[in-house]
Amino acid sequence: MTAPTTTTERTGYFAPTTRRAALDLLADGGPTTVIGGGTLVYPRLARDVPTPRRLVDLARLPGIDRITTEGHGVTTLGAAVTYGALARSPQTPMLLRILAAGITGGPQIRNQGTVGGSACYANPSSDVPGALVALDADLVLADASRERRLAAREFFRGPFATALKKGELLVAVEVPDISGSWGYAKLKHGGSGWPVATASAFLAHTGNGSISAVSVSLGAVAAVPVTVDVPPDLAVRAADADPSARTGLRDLVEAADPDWWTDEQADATYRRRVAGAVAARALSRALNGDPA
Amino acid sequence: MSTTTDAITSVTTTVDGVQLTLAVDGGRALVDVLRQDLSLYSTHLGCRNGDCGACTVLVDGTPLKSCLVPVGRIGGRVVETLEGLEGDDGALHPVQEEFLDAGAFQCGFCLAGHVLCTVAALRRDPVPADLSAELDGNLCRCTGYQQIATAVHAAPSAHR
Amino acid sequence: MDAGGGAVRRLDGDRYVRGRVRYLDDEQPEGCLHLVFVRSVHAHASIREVRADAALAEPGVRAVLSGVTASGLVGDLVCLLPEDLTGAAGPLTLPCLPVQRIRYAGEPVALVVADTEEAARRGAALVVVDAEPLPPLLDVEAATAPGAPAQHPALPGNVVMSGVVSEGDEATVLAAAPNVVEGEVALGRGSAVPLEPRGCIARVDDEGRLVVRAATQQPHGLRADLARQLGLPESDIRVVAPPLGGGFGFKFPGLPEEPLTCLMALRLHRPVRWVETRAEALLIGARDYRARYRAGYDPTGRVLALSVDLDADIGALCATPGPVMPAVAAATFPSGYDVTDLEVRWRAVMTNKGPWNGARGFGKEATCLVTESVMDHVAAATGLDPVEVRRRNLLRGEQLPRRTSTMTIDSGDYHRALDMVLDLAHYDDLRARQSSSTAGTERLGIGVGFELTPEGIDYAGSLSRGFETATVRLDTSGHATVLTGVTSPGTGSETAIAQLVAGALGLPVSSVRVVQGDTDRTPFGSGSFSSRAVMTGGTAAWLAARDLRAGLDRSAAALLGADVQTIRAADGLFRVDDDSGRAIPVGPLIAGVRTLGDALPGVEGLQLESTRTYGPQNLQSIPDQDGRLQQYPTYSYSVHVAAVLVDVETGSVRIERLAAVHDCGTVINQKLVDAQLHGAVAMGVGIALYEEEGFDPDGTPTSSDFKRYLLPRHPDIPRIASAHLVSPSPFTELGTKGAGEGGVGGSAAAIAGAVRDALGAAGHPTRTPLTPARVLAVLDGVTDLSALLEVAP
Repeated sequence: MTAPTTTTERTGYFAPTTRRAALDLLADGGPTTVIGGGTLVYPRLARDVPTPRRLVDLARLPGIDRITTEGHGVTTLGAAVTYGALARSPQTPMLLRILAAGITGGPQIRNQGTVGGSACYANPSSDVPGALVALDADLVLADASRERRLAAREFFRGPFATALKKGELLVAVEVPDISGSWGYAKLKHGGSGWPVATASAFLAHTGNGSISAVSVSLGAVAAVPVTVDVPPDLAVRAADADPSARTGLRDLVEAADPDWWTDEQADATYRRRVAGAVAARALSRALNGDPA
Repeated sequence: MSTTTDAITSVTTTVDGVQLTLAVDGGRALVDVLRQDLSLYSTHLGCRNGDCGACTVLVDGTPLKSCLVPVGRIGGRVVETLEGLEGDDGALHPVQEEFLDAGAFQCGFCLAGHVLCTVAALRRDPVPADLSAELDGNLCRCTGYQQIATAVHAAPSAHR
Repeated sequence: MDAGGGAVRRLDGDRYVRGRVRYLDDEQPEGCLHLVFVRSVHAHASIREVRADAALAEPGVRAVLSGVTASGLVGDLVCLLPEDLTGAAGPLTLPCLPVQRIRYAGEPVALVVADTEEAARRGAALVVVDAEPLPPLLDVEAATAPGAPAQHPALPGNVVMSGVVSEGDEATVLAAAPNVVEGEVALGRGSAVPLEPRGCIARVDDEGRLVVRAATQQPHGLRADLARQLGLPESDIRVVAPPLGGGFGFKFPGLPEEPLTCLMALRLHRPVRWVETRAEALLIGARDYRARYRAGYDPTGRVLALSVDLDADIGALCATPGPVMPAVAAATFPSGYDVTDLEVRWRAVMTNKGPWNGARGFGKEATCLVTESVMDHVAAATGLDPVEVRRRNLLRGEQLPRRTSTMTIDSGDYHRALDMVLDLAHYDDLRARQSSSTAGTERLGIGVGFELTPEGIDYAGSLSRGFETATVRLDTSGHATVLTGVTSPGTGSETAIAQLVAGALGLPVSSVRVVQGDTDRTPFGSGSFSSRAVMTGGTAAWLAARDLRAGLDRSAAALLGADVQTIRAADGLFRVDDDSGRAIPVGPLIAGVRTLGDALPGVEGLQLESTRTYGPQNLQSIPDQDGRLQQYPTYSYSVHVAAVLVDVETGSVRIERLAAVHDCGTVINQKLVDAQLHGAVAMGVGIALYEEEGFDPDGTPTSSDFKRYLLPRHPDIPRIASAHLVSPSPFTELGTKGAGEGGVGGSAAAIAGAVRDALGAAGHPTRTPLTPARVLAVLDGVTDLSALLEVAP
């Protein structure tokens, strides 16, 4: 067997070693399933769901599972960086380090599931979309002709819907290094449940240490993540359980008018009810410097 | 190593200490190759959805749910199932011994996952901080996790 | 009686930890074919036609079968329901594959057999089921409304069974009671969910016999069904149950997949294999109840009369023991409480949801949730501590045995168990903490639950009777083999049986082998059913072993030239008193019996094998002059305390503490029995907080995997503090009672009570699982159960 070739076979498992080869496989062969981690693809293959049996596994693409900081204020995560790798790397942005440790499914899932895979799946009831929006991350998408960057808030279009085009691959996630304090809070039902509400709170500080800006990105409560800017004073009081501040925070969330999400984990009424409380918890953690 | 073309149709790997080259479609789930091709049955199927953990194996020491892993990924890697844990002389691994002593199983269907996750955790850190976080990917319907917790907490000192 | 105590490790434990135990799915006979079912997407539909041509044309597909053809080839399933409860004229039957009407989403409508599982799945996807959807009946109201379409031709009103359990004069006493509380309790649909799904491998052997390996709890019961349905003598069928990956009632026979798999093996003259998927397993239910209660009480908190209406939504009718469970739920009132004026009106109603199989608890968990809600309600109404209400209402030891219209509760010390569990749970400290802490979003709640667990059912009229048979056989290696009609679903009960036999024979436990689960080798039995493996199965084996021991003692006396009264046996050595100089190891002793028996004076005749059938007393299968029946011989019980933290902002419930005291009479192996309690308590956690099989408005199941049917994981269950009491049964040979189910209802009730306690909501309607959304609804003061039922999980 010699040089890598593409094929028009309808089935088969391919593990390309160059991005070019991967994109060629996507372009040439008809319905294809891309594997980032595999934790979401293999259950679909097992069920009677018409999932294409032509599998392209990104695992061997150079750098696809690496976390790098190249010094220009950006941390780059390969699309197939696992939650486990995020949890272990000193270069991981704080928010993602916390998120990674709490992913449902045990070390097995945390060592196989990937940031990129989760982003492309765009399940509202998940952690990654909300966090990437909070981090103001860019998703790096490549097709045969070019690479483009798309802000996370543009990438997540709807439930299980992203801006990824046919023939495109998510190859990396770029997280700008912003200095500030983070807090993460996540609500799910028991050890087996999937996220019902997540909140990533970010506090920016001025030179003298006071808080200049506060934002909270809510995940899992709506079809796509929603970010709310919170007046710093309100944020501090809400984190402190001041009832009128809590109401104010809830009102801000309501005013954002998200498309509240319903699935088997929880319905829209419930998510709408708890979103403010989860946001307040994330704020509290950010303020106390105890991000988890 | 798998072949140099991007299509994986053959995998060379070590499973339970035995080096093998398998002619397989790389997209098959590892659990099916283990059970159907290699007759290694200690890895069980409870859900095929990545939830129950009964199909857990170690790949290069990392616990993974084999119903989710393409066999094409394990080329050049070392796979361990529960059956391979005992010594060449048949001596039980200390974690197996602890599970037996504590009565940490009933029907045994989830046993491989629990034992292998415990082994993996202890290899990384002989005195792990939170062993229950190492096991929250494994469902058990029989024990209520009680005797498993006993065995798992006894294991580090037994493991020496 | 020397049972070896709790230090004995599992027989075969070594094989388990080495991963060498083989379950049903681990076998694939040479040349076997694979069977996959085509399942209905409609919950309720009228079948026009099932078209198989495209499926048959798929490469690898060998056969396709649907209802029209199947009805001529395989007999119907026959429901085991007492006619006096169904009101039907004759037994209720069901075809294995439907001919005219589909009754639930997921019902098998056709089957495909192919060379590989993949080909069978491809074929199944090509079978066309042409059916006209009908509006589904998805709750008891809809199913019993006038004009609701009949789900079975013999039951036009969709009520499968109904009955009244009564004691004393509830109406009069209730009417005269100084106070009355009323409330509602509902248990959402859930199931037993063992980790190993069902499966069946059938083949015809060289002698033309049907040989079946099945993940079943009742190999003899399955064999009887297969014989009838396939028109074969039972002796032409062998059923083997390999080690099970859990049973819990999920693997009783009475569903169509096993007979159909066997049919195809007979027709195609090839082994045929079927293993269900997790989604298929989650079609089956095992509980779905709604109860309304009225309790009359006096100012001291004594409950004077209890009136309960209990409805069970049993989904589509089937032939498993599942549909019987509502009768058991009703019959278990008033639990261990001293209430002598009682009426429970109950119904089991068919709807267009999947059928029921058994589940641990067998209806008794529903009884427990209701009685404990009543006691908590009375506590709130009187201002008494819920524990005090239990104290004032639980039967005292001196009052037992207590005869009711459905039970003779044998023995127990409920008050002592209650005191012990309060101690274990540090109950007073919990209450102190509760009254002192007010800050934060978490509220502490404490609940207590008493559970009465009748065990060992004798179901006269069915094959599952209350007695079991064992053969014990000795060999010249000094080993004993036990052939038992009971099976273990994975509990390790065979270890306890071996202990009993070893103790009786004076052998080390390692010299006893237990054979179970093979209709060719083991005597007729109920398999794994109603926790009787050790209580009844073990006792039968013990009696048989004692027969043999008597003979061995006399032979040893003759061979050693001693008086039989001086013979002692331990660890496989028979000696005269403690004189090891005059001793004979058991192997040579048995060889002596075999070679010298009847030839040498005093050496016993050649009996080296004994078969005994044992059934406990305390059973009344024929109604007495007062119409009372008594189908459970033994009454285990447990008392539970749960402490939870309820997050009032999110409704999340965290279990902080669990304590349990259980009593199952004489204990043979404490470790095994404690392990059963742990597992049962874990199931109670699941029922109270997590487990639910949900449905779309069109009747499509929505919980077909473990991301949606939630089971508790490690972080969800704290360390359970437990202790036990022993109140021997006066009615069983060894004082044993059944162990295995105790803890499911009690812990669920304690947790539910704790959540209500945290919210000050005792007496409010309770609907399990208490998901965060439902907890918030209770917090919001929703007091109408119908409204609570509307709250999505």
